[in-house]
Amino acid sequence: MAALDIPAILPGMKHVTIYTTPTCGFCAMTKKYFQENNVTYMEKDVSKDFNAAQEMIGKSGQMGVPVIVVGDGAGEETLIVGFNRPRLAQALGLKG
Amino acid sequence: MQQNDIYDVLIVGLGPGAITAAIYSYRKRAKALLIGKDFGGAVLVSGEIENWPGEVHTDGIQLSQKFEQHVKKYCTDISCFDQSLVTKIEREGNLFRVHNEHGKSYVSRTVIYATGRKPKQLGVPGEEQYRNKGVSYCAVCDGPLFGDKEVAVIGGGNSALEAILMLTKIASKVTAVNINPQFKGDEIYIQQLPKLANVEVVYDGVTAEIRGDGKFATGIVVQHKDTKKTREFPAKGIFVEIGSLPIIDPVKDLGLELNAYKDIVVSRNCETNIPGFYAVGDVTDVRDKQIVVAAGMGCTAALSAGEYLVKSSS
Repeated sequence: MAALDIPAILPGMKHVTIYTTPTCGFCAMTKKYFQENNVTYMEKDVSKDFNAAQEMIGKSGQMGVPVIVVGDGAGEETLIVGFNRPRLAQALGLKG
Repeated sequence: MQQNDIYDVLIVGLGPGAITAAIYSYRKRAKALLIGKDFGGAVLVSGEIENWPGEVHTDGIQLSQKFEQHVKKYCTDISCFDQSLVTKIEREGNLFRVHNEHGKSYVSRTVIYATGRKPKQLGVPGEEQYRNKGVSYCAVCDGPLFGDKEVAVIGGGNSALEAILMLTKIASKVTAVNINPQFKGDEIYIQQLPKLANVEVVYDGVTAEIRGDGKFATGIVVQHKDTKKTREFPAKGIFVEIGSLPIIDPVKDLGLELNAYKDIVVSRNCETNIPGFYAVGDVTDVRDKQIVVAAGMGCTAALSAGEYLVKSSS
C-alpha cells in the first residue's frame, strides 16, 4: 500500500504520520514495515517541506529522522523517534 | 536438549558478511539460523555505493533491500531467521548459546559473528546534550534536514569525505574539521574538495566543545593542535564521522583474542581463537572495512564452519 497524500481519518481510527528524508535507511525500513502490515500512513519529507521540518522538531524536540506520530483518533498521540519495531507494534496494536 | 534443537550454524548480524554466510549455509542445507536487527547493517546508512560488483550505482537502502530479498529466497520463517538483537553469547562445552533481546536463546555447534561496528563519539562537552539536536552520527540520514544552514563535519577519513561531499550540495556552508594535516581516503573524494566553494577545511583542528542555546546546537569550538588557538564555527548540524568501534559487547566474556583496537583477531579462514567460532567483516581485524570484503569473508566463514562440522562429527 502506498503512502497517501490525504489519509482518510475516521473517528476512532489510528492515523500515522512519518517524517522522513529521502536518503534515510531507517525511514525506508519503517515505511516497509507499514506496508507489510497494511498500515496507511502519511509521509512528510522534511528535506523538501520546511513547515513539516519545523513541525517535526516542535513535536519531537530533536532533529533525527524518522519520527513517527501515531494518533489514536481521540486526540492522543504517540511519538516514536527512530525505527523501533516493538514500540511501533504496540502503538499500532500489531503483533511485534 | 534434543539433538534436533541444536543448530549447525548460527549467524549473528544482517550486514553483507552475515547475509553471505547465511546464503552459503542455507544452500548447503545446514541447519542455520540468521539473527540480527536491521537488514544491511552499516550498509543501510551508507548513502551512495559504486563499488559493489554488478551495480554501477546503488545506495544503502536499495542494497539492503536486495540483501533481504536474497536471504528470504532461502528462508522465510522463524526456524531459520530471528529479527532481533543478540545480547550475549556463551559457551556450553563445545556448543554456543546465543541469547536475544527478548529472553530467547538458541544453541549452535558453530557461530559466525558479523555484528560490524558502531560510530565513535567525540567525548567533548555538549555532545550528549545536543545529540539528535544538531549532533548526528548519520549524515546520510539527517543531512537533508539542514538545507541552506551552516553545518560542520568532524573527521578525516572516507566517511567524513562522503559526508562533506553530500552536505556541500545541501548546506549553505560546510566546516570540515580534520584533526590531521590531510585527509586519508579515496583520491576520487579528496580531489573534489578544493573545487567546493562552500567548504572551509580546518586541518590540525581538535573539536573541543559543542555549543548550543539549551535546546539545539549552534556551533563548535575548535582548537589548533599545535598553536592551541581556538575558533568558534557556527553550525546547526554537526556530523561526527571520526571512525567506529567494533560491536563486541555480546562476546566480551567469551575469551576471544582481540587486537589493540578491540577488533576480533581472525585467520585467513575467518577462524577465531575459539574452535567453532568465526568472525567476519568490520568487527574483525581485517585491514579493509569494505562491503565487498565483508561479503567475501562471509563466504569463507560459512565454508570453514561447514568443514569444522564435518570434521567434528567424524
